[in-house]
Amino acid sequence: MIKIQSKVIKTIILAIIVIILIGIVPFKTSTITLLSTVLIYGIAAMGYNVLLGYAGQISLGHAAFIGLGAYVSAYATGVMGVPFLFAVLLAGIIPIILGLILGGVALRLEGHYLAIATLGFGVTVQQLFKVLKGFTNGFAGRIAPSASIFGIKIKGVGYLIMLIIITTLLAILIENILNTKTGRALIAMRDSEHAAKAMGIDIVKYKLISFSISAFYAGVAGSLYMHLVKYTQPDVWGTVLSINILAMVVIGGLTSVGGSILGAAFIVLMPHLVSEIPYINTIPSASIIITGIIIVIIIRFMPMGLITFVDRFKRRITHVRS
Amino acid sequence: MLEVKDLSISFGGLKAVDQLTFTVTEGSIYGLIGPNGAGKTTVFNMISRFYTPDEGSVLFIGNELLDFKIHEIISLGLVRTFQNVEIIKNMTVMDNLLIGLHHQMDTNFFTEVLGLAKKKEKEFHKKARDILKFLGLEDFENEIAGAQAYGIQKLIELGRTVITSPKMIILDEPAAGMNHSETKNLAILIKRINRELGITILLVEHDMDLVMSICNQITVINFGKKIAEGTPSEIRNNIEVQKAYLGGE
Repeated sequence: MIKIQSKVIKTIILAIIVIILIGIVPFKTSTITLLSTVLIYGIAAMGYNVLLGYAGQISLGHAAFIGLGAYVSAYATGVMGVPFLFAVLLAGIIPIILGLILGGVALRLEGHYLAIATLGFGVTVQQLFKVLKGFTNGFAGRIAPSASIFGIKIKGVGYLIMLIIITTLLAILIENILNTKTGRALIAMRDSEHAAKAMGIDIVKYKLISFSISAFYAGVAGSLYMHLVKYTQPDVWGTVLSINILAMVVIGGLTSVGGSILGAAFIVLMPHLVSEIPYINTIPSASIIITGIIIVIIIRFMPMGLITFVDRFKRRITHVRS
Repeated sequence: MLEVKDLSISFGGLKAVDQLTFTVTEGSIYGLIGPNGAGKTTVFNMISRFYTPDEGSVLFIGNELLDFKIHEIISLGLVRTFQNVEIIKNMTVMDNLLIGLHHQMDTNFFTEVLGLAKKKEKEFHKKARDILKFLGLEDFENEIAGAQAYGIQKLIELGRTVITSPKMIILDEPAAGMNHSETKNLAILIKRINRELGITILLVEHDMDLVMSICNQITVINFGKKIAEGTPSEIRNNIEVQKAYLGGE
């Protein structure tokens, strides 16, 4: 168990180093926003990884949870005047209700059928965002005030640092869950439902738990997105985003919390990096095409995701040391 | 300890198990045998609640098992293995054993989230290590379970049942896929589990040598019906049994 203890400390140390670096290096505002986006999607991907990687359940409608979190947060802070941090929590909790409904569907469906059902679920919720004008303000969109904690406004570098702290905290919480009883139960359920049942694991309970966790993380991510961008409308929360979250988890590494953030960084940053390359950036949509090709290559040669890269590197370091 | 009474089930008009009755007494090693397709595994699946019988009852230490759900059975002290090993292949051997402790772990979601469950985890690991030693698997603790030889995987699955400190283990073809020496070791192991740990065993098996050498009591079924019951020597000399196995008239 010392290993896990030190893992927590390692994560915290890493977070502190990153915070100091961000404090020192004078980043452009656009870079700060980009890095903030990476962490926000990283949070959503962490939650999604519990669902897909650990519990083996698929969802192609995950944008619905993120969108709901965003709207809840915007409504709570903008209309009801709820304090920011409380709104973030609320934006995590309310999507759980939706998560339990989808989890209920997952109890009856598996594999391809579940994928189609969740796809329909995502589309339905997106349409509801368009129709429920009292809550979402329809196509006109809803705005949200900037984040503030105890009356202090948080934006730019401050917001990024807050995101690093929240991401670290959420990563530690999820690692704690996955390294104990719940994590083992989820994996057992994924690999052999028969064995899981025979060993006393309540499949109904754990399927619902996995959907709840991922809905909570998605909702929190939605809320943090809302207070970064400060405006949203229904088109943002479509199937493209759901597929992107799926891609983040697969590319970063299934069953890896660190991999989820790595995958988010890849999907968010890659198009920007490719568009910096001379000549290529003159071709329209080249960045998206090249990102797509890289995804295919990664999946082909690194089925366990980019995190294998990091693991190999780590192993080499410990190898050299000894 | 286990009373199976008038158990029947049919699949699409075919009676797979027909009015089966037998009683397993505490402390025994009880064998359920029969030719291929006789309905042995079906009986196991009904006892462990994977199937719901059409008629009959299954009493385990006074509890009617048919009133319980699959995942609740283990808490009564009854645990099973599967014919085609059902271990969690992507997990380490240690984690596979810990799955067996799932229902006994009183840590909950919130203590886990806050990292308070770690101390308890240590105790669980110690218990799992004791079982690994008992099985002679102590060197495999951190190996990936799915990467092990078939015989080892079977032992891991057996270990996962033993760690639950059950009153009774039901084994579905424990020797299937094992070679001669592995089967011999298995026989010794099952006897040790029975004697040293005081666990009652009910097993379905094809390997006659194994059944005859370790069981105290045997029931033979054919086409879902009981055709004989008795000690190994009685069974060996039973004409009905010989007919069923050799297909003679």
